[in-house]
Amino acid sequence: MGKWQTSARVGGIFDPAGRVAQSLVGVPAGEIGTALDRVGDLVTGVWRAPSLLTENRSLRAQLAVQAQYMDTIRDLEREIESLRKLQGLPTLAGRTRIPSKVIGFFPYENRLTLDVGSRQGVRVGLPVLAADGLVGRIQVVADEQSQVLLLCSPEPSNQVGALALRDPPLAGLLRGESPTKLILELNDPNAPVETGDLVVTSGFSERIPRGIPIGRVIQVDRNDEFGKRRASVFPSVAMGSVQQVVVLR
Amino acid sequence: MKRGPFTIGVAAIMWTAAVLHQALSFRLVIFGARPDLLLVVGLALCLLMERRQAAWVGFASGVLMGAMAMANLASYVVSRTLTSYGVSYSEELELRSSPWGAGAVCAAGTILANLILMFLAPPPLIGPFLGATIRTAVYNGVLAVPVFLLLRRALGPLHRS
Repeated sequence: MGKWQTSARVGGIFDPAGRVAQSLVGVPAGEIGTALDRVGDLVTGVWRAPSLLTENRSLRAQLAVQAQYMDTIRDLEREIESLRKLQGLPTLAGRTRIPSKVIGFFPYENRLTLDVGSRQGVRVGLPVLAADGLVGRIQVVADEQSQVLLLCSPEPSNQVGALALRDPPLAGLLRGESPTKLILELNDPNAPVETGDLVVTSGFSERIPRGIPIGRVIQVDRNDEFGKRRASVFPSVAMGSVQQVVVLR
Repeated sequence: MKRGPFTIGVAAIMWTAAVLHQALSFRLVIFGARPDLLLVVGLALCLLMERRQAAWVGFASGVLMGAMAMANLASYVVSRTLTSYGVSYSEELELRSSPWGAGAVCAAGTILANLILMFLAPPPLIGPFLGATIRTAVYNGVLAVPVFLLLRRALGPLHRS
């Protein structure tokens, strides 16, 4: 049974047991979650109506200002893309955003279930973002659902290229350890990484763009034995409280 | 109660518990404690059943949980089947008449299930896992009191063979 599951997971699909459980349980659970969210939103809306109106007006004004820049950004992106094509470089990742809701969280397995799947364009390996930063990567995909392996998962394959933002930025490999601790390994044992440094994605990947916040350095250790410098990073996303995410395609 | 309707009733209860677990458990976090609704309902059911039935409920609970989480099915199935079988032994403590006793057994059962799981599928960090287990056990124990009362009323007077 375990081998069956593992081979399905490696192939990026739900195993038969998972597929049955998700269709029997995940679908009604998603409906209940949506209904609860609506009730919660209604109560919050009634309770905070005056401040929400003010906030809404302010956000509309900000949106109008931002819209003026969007055309310029699109033009620049088009220009970059055509220059990359001329240079024979691959297209940049993370252009399309697929909004999604979290419909299941399994803390012991470091996994989230999302309500979007291959029908919405989700593919294995795509990065998943919350408002505060990177959440993880899509591990398995079904038609209408997918599962995310969280960044904090200690699975050996779960590594992301990361930069500690200093001048110049320090590149390393980041892996999960626990929900409150990630490990950034820098190949230079004398890398001047310090507590408080912001860590973001490096972009040295076909799918994960550069600059997505990951967390902040909370501790730095020298690992002389392996000629490396290790930094503990506190993730910027509280994995257990994420409810809305975006899949970057 | 006849066997057929009873089995269907238990299956419906387990399915409802699984749906509620997936929909609610991550919305009901209190002080970092997350309830395991499937385990609460499964263990409360075991208190109302004979041992063999309890083992089947544990098996179903393990399959459902493992499949939903895309986790190793075998570890969840073994840990929950053994725990459910063990919990059904608390018959000798006459806990069926005491909801508070049911709460205590569910809390202990949660710890036992997670300890077995810990040996079968060791987590990377034992300390945080045990901390989360204890918090979940307390939460499950509190939730088990009304769940047990509800199930006892819903399933009627069951008799162990």
